[in-house]
Amino acid sequence: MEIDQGFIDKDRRGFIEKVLRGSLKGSLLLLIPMHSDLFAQVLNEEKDKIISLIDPKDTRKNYAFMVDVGACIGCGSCCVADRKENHVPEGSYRTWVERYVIDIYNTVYVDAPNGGEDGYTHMREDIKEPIKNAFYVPKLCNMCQEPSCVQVCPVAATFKTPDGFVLVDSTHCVACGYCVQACPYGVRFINNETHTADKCTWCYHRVSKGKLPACVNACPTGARKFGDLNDPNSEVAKIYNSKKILKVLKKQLGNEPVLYYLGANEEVI
Amino acid sequence: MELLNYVYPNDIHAHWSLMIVIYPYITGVVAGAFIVSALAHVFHVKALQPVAKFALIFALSWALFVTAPLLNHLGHPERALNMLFTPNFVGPSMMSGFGYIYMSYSILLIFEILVIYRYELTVMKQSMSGAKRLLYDLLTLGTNDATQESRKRDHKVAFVLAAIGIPLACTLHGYVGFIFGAVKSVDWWFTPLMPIIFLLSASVSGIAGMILFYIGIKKITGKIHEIPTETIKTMVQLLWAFFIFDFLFEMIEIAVHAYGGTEGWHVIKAALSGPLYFSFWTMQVKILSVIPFIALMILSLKNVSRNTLLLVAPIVSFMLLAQVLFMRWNVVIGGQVMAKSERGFAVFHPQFWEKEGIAVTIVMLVAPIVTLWVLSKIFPLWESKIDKEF
Amino acid sequence: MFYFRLVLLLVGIVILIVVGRMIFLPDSWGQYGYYRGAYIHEEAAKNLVYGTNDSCKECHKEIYDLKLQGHHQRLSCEICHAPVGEHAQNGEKIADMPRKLGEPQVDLCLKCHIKVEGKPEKFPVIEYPKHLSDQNVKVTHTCDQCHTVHAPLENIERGRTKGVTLKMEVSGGN
Repeated sequence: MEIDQGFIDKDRRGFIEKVLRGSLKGSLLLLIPMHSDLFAQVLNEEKDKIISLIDPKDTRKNYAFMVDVGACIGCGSCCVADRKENHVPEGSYRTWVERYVIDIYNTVYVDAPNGGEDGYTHMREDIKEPIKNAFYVPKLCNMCQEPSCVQVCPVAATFKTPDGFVLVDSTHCVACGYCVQACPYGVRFINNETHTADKCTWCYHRVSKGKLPACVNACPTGARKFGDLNDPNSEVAKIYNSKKILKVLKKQLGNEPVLYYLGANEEVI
Repeated sequence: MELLNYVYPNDIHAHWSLMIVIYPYITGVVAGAFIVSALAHVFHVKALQPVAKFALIFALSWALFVTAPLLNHLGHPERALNMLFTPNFVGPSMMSGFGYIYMSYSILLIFEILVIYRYELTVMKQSMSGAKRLLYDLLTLGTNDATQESRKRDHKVAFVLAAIGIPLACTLHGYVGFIFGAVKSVDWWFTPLMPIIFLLSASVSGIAGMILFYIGIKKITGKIHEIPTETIKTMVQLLWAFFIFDFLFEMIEIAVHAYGGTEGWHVIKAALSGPLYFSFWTMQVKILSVIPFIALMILSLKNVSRNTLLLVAPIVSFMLLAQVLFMRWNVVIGGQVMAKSERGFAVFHPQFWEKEGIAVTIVMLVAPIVTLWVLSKIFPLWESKIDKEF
Repeated sequence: MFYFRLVLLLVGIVILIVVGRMIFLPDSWGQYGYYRGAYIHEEAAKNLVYGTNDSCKECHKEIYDLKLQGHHQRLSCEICHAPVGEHAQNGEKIADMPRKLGEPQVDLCLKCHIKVEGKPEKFPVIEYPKHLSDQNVKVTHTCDQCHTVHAPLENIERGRTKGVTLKMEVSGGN
């Protein structure tokens, strides 16, 4: 991202206004360059401004998350980044990476010790038969278009924003745990520090400021992709509009996830 | 299946604990007992008149503790009223109905009790003074109408309330079944039979509880001779009737699952022959269903002696109370044990001393019994002379 | 009279709920839908912990440029070091990045590059410590003695490996 730093420093307020009025093409991405001296400053000094800038009703963007199973190396960097970015307590996982190993008799072995966070650095030693296939599958919130969790929440503490993100209002949640039961993908948990339901938000706080989700940013091989399907130049749109076969998890349940898997085997559940 | 055993990392331990096992259990007893009183008040089943009042107080003593396990389970019990203030009728969330359904039912039950006891309490309080008089004044809403016309009106209102109460009690428990039956992510729960099974098992536990406590209390107070054989016989037959359908639907559910043989069944089958084998097949089905089923059949159809009836009925009732508890366990814990990864089983090991542990569970199951004792000091449990002369 | 009071009781309960709802209904309820709208803004306003590589550029331009030339160009600085939020705030350095030399550094490299089942075919992996003996160097060597971590093949392509290795050996390694 090329930004004229001096311009922003000199006249940031005017710049913000221009973006707001739409005279500067682009998104909030321009506003908060990921730059050490602006990085946290913006948040602290202009928090209110930023809050007012974010318009959840802006549905021009159609965000999608893609996982390229063939590119994942199982290093666990995404999980480490996620835990720190979102202050996830130990023992709970907003995202994790599963290791699939399939032997020549088609027996599928899956494991995810500590959610794959420590990286897969040892072979599975309990498999006696020759292995024919192995791969890693990152998991996270499917951001369903028909979310079960939103449906079952008795107090409407979890909801889908107009721009398509499923969030949990931690100040309203009673932590009954029904959403934990209802989520078909097991991405929800009760946060043992806030005592409320918690889950991956696709880093809404980053995305709404024009940044990639922490896990996507951390992924060394581009196995995690995030972008706007309405932008034909985005990587996800290019894949989405290509012949490549995309898969969503547990399609038969009708949740209509927006998390797509590229090159995922049938065995991936 | 056991060999592979992979569970999503957030689901390794079952999250819904013993509290969620006993919550539908307690609700079930409430709904079941209410049905007995409704049979007496609405359908005028003569044989059940002696326990008509007892059924209401029995229901109330359990109804007061429906929310206890839930509040103990919530991560933020102080926000519990969000259920009433921002119920998610948009979702729509079945659980959001809890606040209003439970509240309506409780109000109805309490009103029904106040109406039915109004005359009796009014007569009783004439000879009272001090705090006791104050309490009875409160329960009669400060009125002193002891005319026969007022009694007639009471009966009419009680009839209407009980009539409304039947569908409401069914809603209260049917919806608990719906909470599980509508969760598509868990194959073990996802069946339209679930609300029906919950409703039937609720009736079973309620009637069984009443038989056990009716005979138990009379025995302890040395008044067992006061029990009319006809009443126990009718209750036993009622219990058997409900249990036939309860057991039938429980087995149909398994049979349809097994015959369908879908992906989901493979998970269920593995669990039923693995971690759930003992609690489901051995306890819920073999010991606690088959034996009571046969015993109830004999008690209902054969002309057994009064002594046999009074001996066997409470034992069978106790077994059925246990059966329903096991059924709740197998549903609530079982559904979580069958992990969503479809490749393994989650674990659930309740501790004795923990927030939602065994000790607290026992306290919550004993509390209604203590409450029943307290309530019996205020409300005469049994059909009195006053009732009979009307 | 009794029934009048009973109905009054019922009305009282209803009023209590209606009033309770009026008091306790959050302000922004219904702003965007049937939920507390303000939460969206609260969530969006949460602080970032991780930045992007551009966050590091200003102070560490040399390494930033070096990295751009090598095979690690796509790598996020923060996955090996630490999130920038733990290092700098408001343009001020608040803490040192954890130094990852010696064994921890080897672990970091191996996290991605060790040979285990399931790695994509084109991804470079090594067997450890077999790789070291294959290359005729001491097994106590750390990766950065041959590979510049920020541009892993830089020294190797320029044929500087030996020198680096020997130099490090003489000075006792790391």
